[in-house]
Amino acid sequence: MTLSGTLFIGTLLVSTLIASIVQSAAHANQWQLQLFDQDGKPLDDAVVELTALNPAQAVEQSGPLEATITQQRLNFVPFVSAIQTGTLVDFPNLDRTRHHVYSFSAAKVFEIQLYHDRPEAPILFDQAGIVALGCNIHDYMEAYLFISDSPWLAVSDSTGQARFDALPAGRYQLRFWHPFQQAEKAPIEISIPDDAIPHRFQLQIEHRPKQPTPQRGFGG
Amino acid sequence: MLMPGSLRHRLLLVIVVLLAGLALATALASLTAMKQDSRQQAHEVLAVAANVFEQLLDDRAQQLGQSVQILAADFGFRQAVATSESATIQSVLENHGARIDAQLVLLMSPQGELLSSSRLELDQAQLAPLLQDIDWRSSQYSSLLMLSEQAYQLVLVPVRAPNIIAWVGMGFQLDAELAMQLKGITGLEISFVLANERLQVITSTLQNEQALSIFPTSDFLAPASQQPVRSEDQRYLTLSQPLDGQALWALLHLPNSRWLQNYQQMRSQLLAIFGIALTASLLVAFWLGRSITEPLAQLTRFARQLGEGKATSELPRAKGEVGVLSKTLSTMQQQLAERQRLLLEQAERDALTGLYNRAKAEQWLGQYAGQKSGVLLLLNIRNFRHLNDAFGLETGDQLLHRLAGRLQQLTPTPLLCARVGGDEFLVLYPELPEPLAPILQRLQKPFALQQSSISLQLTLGYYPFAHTDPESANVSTLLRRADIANANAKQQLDGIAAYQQGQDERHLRDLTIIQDLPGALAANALSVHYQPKVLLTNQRCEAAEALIRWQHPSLGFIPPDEFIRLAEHAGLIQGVTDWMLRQVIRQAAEWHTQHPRLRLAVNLSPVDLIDEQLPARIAEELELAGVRAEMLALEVTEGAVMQNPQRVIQVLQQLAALGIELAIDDFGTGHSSLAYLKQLPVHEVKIDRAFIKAIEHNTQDELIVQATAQLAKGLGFKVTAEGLENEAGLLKLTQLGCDTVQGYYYSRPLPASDFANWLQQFHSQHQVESRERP
Repeated sequence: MTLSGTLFIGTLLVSTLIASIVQSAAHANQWQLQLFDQDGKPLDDAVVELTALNPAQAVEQSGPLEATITQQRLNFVPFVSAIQTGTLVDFPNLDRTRHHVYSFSAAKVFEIQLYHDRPEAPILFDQAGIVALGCNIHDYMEAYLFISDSPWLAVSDSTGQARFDALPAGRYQLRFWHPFQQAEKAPIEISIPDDAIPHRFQLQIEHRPKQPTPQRGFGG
Repeated sequence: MLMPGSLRHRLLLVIVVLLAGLALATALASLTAMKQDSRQQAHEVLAVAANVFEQLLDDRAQQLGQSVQILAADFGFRQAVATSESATIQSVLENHGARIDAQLVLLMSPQGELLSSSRLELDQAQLAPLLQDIDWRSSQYSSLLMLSEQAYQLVLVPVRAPNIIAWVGMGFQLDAELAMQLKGITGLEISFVLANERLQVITSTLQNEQALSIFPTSDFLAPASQQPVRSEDQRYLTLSQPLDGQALWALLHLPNSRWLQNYQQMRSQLLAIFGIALTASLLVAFWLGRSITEPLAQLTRFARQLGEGKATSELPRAKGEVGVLSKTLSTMQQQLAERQRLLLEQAERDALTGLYNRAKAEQWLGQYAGQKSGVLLLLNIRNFRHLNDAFGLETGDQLLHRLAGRLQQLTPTPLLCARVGGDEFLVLYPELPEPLAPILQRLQKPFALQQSSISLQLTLGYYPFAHTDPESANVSTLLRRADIANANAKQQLDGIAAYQQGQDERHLRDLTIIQDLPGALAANALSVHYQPKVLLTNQRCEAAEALIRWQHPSLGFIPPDEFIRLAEHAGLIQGVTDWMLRQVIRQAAEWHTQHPRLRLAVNLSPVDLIDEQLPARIAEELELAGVRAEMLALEVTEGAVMQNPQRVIQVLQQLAALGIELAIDDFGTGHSSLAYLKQLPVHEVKIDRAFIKAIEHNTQDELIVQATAQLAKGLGFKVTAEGLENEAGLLKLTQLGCDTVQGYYYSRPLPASDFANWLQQFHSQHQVESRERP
């Protein structure tokens, strides 16, 4: 394992630690959702956003927010990230090739010129919105950032599950987003905790290969 | 000799028609097949070209797409599109469009909204058909379409960042350059046309006007028909390819000349082959026809010559039918010759005796007599008709046959033996065999026939002729003279006589007289003269003898004795007598009033006297003329009575019964039978002039006349003396008791008018005398 790998794991550990502190600080409401596509299959990479309708629910920012999107095996990982505004996202490059990460999205236009290992500085995403990430060297590479003002964000995993661990009780607006969605689902309001709220949601998406198989002609 | 309808003609016709038909059918089939083949090829060429054309357009779209894709992947381009405002985008589009020579650049949102365009006139509505069709998931889309009056091959490519942030479209015009490029590859003329209400040529490798003139209407642009269409002027075969599925078409023109050229070349080759084959076959047919018809022509010539009896030309030597015909004709020629020989023999020979017939004898003699002298012997069987009657015709024929045999075996051998008549034979010797009597005797030896022997009595007349004598050239003269000689021989006891010089001329004169007499009678060319008979008692003339006179136009005066005798022999005497009677009776009628007692006498021939119809004819004639019978007298000779006394007496009695006075003429010259004389109903006896003419000197005559006169008077006849020539004779006759006298003393026979004058004069003179003499 390289030094950067060690650091990355370290970072993860630190983040988890912080999260558990937050959860513990809150009233520790847990909510788990199951997402499906129109065919009833578990849907991954779907962003779930809960926006507190009650200002009392707001949580104090506890330290700088950070996220990482690595370039690994000529792909962005993760494919979809949901971050709160003001998050610094680092783009470490684990591949041997250089990458040229860019975004022309309105929420954040940037480009990290050809670099190796780790860019000089992380990028701050300080505006809510959706950012499509691309690599100018590898056109097929893509990744999406969902930037929200709300801190309560989740991305479904490969089993279609998304989970909130420490939700303060209160009323929320529930919104879904998926990079391949055909139409945006109308936001709904929910209350936490409420035994009656549904756990299963279905999104209309366009099926397409998420991450094309990297070309390996040049020994990548 | 190529006449219509001839064998050769028909043969030629059949061959030519057959060959021409065959060649035409072959040529037609070949040409049709070729034409179809050529058309098929043309269609295939067009079909292939259409595929190539389609492929080319696809390739071009691919190439263009790739160019556009490269452009769309350009970071700067993407950056500009993603981030810049519309003014910047506009210039970016122009700039990048220019890089790949796109005539049109447009930018659309991923949802199909027209964001920007290098052509400002373009609006969203015009893109509607494009948007219906597009597949938003594809990485490239190309289409042919009309945009703002221009035909474009439009390539749309998504612009990714990395999600699709836009579609960039680049349009490339379907222009002349493209058409030329396509033409260069397919080898066809290319037109791009727009077919709305009317056909509009966008561009064409042909002259645009020409493309329009080839296809004035858009009817042929049926999408379903993949069949090429021929242009009106036949110059191009065109396949239409739809480009945008609506109004935009590409036309692929295959010049007709390309495939027609092959066809026409083949056609002219076929025509040449046809012509050569026809000519060759005509020549063969001509030769064949000739080989058939030439022998036929030879045969025809042969047959014609055969028919005309000319010398025949050679017959064609050939096998088969012509050979058979040749042989047949040859046989026919031989048979014809044989038959002709037989016919000739029959024509020349007498069937019974085998001797030459008269015609051949004349021909033979004609050739002989002109060159050589000879003697003609004409033999005739006496009374052969009686022999036939007695023994039968068959025996007669046998006799003739046997006689002919003897004639042929005569020594010396005759040059010619011929049967020239029923019982007449002609024999020719070069010179007279003397003596003739033994020859005749040999011929007359009895023939042993039917257990009896019959001997023939022959007459032999001969006529020696010299070939120098011009008369000998005339065969009929020779034969006539031999005939005359034979007639002479009949008068001879030994039956042999020669032709006497001049006989022929007499004979000819007699012939002329006999021939001319009937005509002369009919034409009244003869005349009647009257000689007065004077009564001695009172010197009055109360009777006259009518005498016939004939002045022949060429022979001159013909004595009555001569032509009467000939008329009697020729059986013409009845005509003469009738004519005479008619003339005299008419004359009597004329003279009747002036000389009522005048009696005219007509001489009758012995032949007349056995004519039992004569009395009736005379009576009729008298009645017709209104003349009394007493005015007519008839004179008959003694001899005439003696030939058939019974019958003559009967006729005479009938005549006498009519009241006609009858006289015996030439009394005393014939062998009169006094026994008959008394039976005759005769009123008058005329003593022949032989006793009268010298009566004054001859006492014997005087006695005869005296005795005759006495005898006649005794029998009750009047006595007339003929031929008184002088006054001395008159006195004698008066003394001897003659009643009437006739003779030159009074008058010679006179024509009717002269006689009338004479009579007038004589009577007035004697009336004066009688008055003077009381």
